[in-house]
Amino acid sequence: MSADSKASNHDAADFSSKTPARVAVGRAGTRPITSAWLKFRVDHALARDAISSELDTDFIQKFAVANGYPIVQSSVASKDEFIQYPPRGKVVEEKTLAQLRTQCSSGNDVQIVISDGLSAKAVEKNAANLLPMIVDGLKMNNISCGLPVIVRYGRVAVGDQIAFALTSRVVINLIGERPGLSSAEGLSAYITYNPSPQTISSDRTVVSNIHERGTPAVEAGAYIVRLVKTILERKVSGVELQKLS
Amino acid sequence: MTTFLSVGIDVGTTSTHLTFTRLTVVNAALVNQSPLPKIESREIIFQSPIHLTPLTSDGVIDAQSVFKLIEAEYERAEIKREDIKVGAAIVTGETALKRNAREVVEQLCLLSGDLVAVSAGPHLEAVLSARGSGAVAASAQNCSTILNIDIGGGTMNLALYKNGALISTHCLGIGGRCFQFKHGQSADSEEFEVSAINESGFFYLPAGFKIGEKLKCEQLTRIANLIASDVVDFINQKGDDTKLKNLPLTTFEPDWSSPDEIWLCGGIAEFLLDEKLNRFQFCDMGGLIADALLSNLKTAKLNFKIPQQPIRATVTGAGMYSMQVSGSTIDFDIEHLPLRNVPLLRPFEDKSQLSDEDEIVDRIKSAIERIDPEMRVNTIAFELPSLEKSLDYNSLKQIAHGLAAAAIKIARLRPFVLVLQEDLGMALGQLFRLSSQEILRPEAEPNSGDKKNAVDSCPLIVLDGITTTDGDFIDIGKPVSLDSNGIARTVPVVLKTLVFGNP
Repeated sequence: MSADSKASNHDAADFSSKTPARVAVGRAGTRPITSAWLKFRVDHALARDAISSELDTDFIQKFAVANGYPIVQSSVASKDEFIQYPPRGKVVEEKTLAQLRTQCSSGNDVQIVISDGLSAKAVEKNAANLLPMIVDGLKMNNISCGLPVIVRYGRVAVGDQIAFALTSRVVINLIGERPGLSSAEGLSAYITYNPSPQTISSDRTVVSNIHERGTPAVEAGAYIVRLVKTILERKVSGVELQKLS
Repeated sequence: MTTFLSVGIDVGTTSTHLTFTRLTVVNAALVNQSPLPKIESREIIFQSPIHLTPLTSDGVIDAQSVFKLIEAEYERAEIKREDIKVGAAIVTGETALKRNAREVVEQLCLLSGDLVAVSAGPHLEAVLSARGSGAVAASAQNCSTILNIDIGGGTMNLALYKNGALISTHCLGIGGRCFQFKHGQSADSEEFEVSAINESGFFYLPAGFKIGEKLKCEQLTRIANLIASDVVDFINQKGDDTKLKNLPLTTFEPDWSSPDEIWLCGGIAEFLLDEKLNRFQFCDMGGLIADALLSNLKTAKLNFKIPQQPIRATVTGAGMYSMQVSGSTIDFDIEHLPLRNVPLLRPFEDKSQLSDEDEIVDRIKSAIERIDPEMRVNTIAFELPSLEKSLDYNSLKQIAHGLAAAAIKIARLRPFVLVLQEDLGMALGQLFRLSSQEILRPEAEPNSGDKKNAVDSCPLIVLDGITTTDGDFIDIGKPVSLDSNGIARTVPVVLKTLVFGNP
């Protein structure tokens, strides 16, 4: 039996160029060929690493500290606790909110929150290109925007609580997506009108798959500005916004 | 979901006909992803009969009669001119070089709706025919290489597709009308009196042959065979010294890949569907060339296929496939749309030429000077070279700044039109506007940004997701919304080639 029967015809080659999925990788007997199997193991390991990754100190220094963005932590004490108890990543403690109220201006149209979520790598990779696009665009449209807040061990809902405390009309939570086997660097933007601790998932409008092979970060930034503008005009987000369309 | 009525009009050397098609555009993106406009379906709603192209007594297309003929078909289809939003009217093959082709095109313009590309040229015809015959779809579906040959009266237009992507187009300057016979001669005549010979015809006739002289049936068959074997040699990329190369309308592109299948379309391919059809029906070489080509392809063991309704391939392609839709995340000042016949320039060879502001300005300036030294055109579109999709904020901002500087310096270009392939249109648009604000009012506090003023100073249209392998002019339609919030919007775009210089 052939040890390497990697699919060599041009049909398969063309097909596999259209998808990041593992198609036409070839086989040796009943298993994938060794290189394909190793690639699978590598990607799986990357996904697992992304989940347990922490925001890099260098990134924090250059991106957050240098720009004066506040860095806070959700109510968990560690990454392990964050993974084991999902609800604890959705809230920050009252003293943290009090600290933010002193550091940040309140009553803005938009509050941006940046959370590591399930992939700190996604934030490191995309935030530096995405955030300035959003900030520029909001300015050009005369939409006021508070100081962006960075949350360690944060989940989606943490943005609603922070924006509620800072009395913003809209929150944008830029958060690392659950990694998959084709990308561990995808970022999502969850956008909510009138965010509060009572916000539920259907209140949120999402732009997902912000990464190199999805929507490029800069383009997503310009698109998010347009969405925020519409959300502010229509005074609604999430499923209700979709219903209007 | 939005629907468009599209028209395809084909004025060829021998025949003239049209189709109306309904195109449906939908948002094909998954929930939560940024919108992705796509033409979902193409439905033919009307096909006219095939008319002989009306000619005046001196052999020129009769523009008035063509116009009347087309107008009558609009009436028969019960379609009003203003209902037609897109499509293409093309004057194809040798007809395009006839001296009044321009007049024909101008007449057809009167019939256009908002956005009908009126064009002529063998490249476009080759591509439209391959799309209309189904060769492109089959090539994509079966991952094969297909050579689509559209054989008309004046030229054979070849388009070579691999896995659904265009490799090259070629034009062989010979067709069924290379010479014509006197009317009233039947298929069983022994001799045929030649009543007209075009430039290409002389290449294949015996030296010194004159109009009015006669040719025997065997001679005709031999000539048809010579033509066919030259064509097959071309397909096999052999015989560089064939007569084909010297024919007046012939153009070759260097890119080639051996075809798995050859599809035969155009009026002449109709003969191959029906053995009983009178080979001398049109008093020209069409029928004989068709038969000779078939037997030469068989001898050379090349796979060939004849699609349904081969004569309608080009017109179907014109009606169905001339339009593209841009990406949804684009940027435009709506009051400047639609735009027609905007020259499309490619001032940059690759993205490295976009890194320096002065170079951007210089390249744009010299590109304009080359096509419009007298500064008469006020709208020009610039296609950007392939950018990285992962382009970072600072690099894109630098590019946008250079483009904005160029737009401001060349003040007559309003609106400033940019076309790119990557999904970066909206980002580039935003950064362009920001940069032009910074250049025009450096002292102004940026967040007092008065958008209206900035828009007034430099109106802009940025389109992305457009593939422009070729095309010298671009038509950009009015935007259509894919949802009532107007978040997902797209614009129809038609790229075209005109052979008569300035539109």
